[in-house]
Amino acid sequence: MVDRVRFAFTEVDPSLGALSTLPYLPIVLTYQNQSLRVSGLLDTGSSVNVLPYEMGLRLGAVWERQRLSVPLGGNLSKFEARAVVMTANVEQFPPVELAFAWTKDRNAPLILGHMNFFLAFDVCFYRSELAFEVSPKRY
Amino acid sequence: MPFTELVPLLKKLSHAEKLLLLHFLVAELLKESGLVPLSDGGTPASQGLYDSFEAASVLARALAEEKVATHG
Repeated sequence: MVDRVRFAFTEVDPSLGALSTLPYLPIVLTYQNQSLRVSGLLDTGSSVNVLPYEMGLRLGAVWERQRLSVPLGGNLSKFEARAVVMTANVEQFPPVELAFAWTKDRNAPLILGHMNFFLAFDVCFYRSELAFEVSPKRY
Repeated sequence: MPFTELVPLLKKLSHAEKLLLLHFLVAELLKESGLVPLSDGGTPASQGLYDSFEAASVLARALAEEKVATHG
């Protein structure tokens, strides 16, 4: 099995070209029996994973059934957030459980942060090559 | 602008504008000193997702509970 996969940075604004590229990772999230193919921003500056409200709803999560409240900082501090655990598939790697701060903010991006994406995967950034590599954590 | 010229202008400000100016100056001084302002509760205010450690601990708890529910 391949132990590392290389991805290209994603250009966000064509008029700015390489200046507007960000490391978005294609990922399949599954909650109970519902799956969604999405792109998450790899954010080493975030303590937590963040799931936007609409995405949680599309995956069939029910807000009222999530009982752990998550105190987020920064711009998201004014929105309520609750913990939700999803199964995540990256490429052909074994599936992992990712815990998200499911925010009520409808404009938040899907963020993959330290708790617990970067505990489950090792990531190496090659910003000058506009690429990054992801591999499952070694046990 | 010399400070002596600034003072008469500042005196013309309303009470609310003086308060806002005070708030602005305190915020500038804190920023220049690299200090984090305190929240209403007297604890350092969170600056962003980068220091949402309490949130991270809640997610760790959610993961642990999920493992127990799934694997017993």
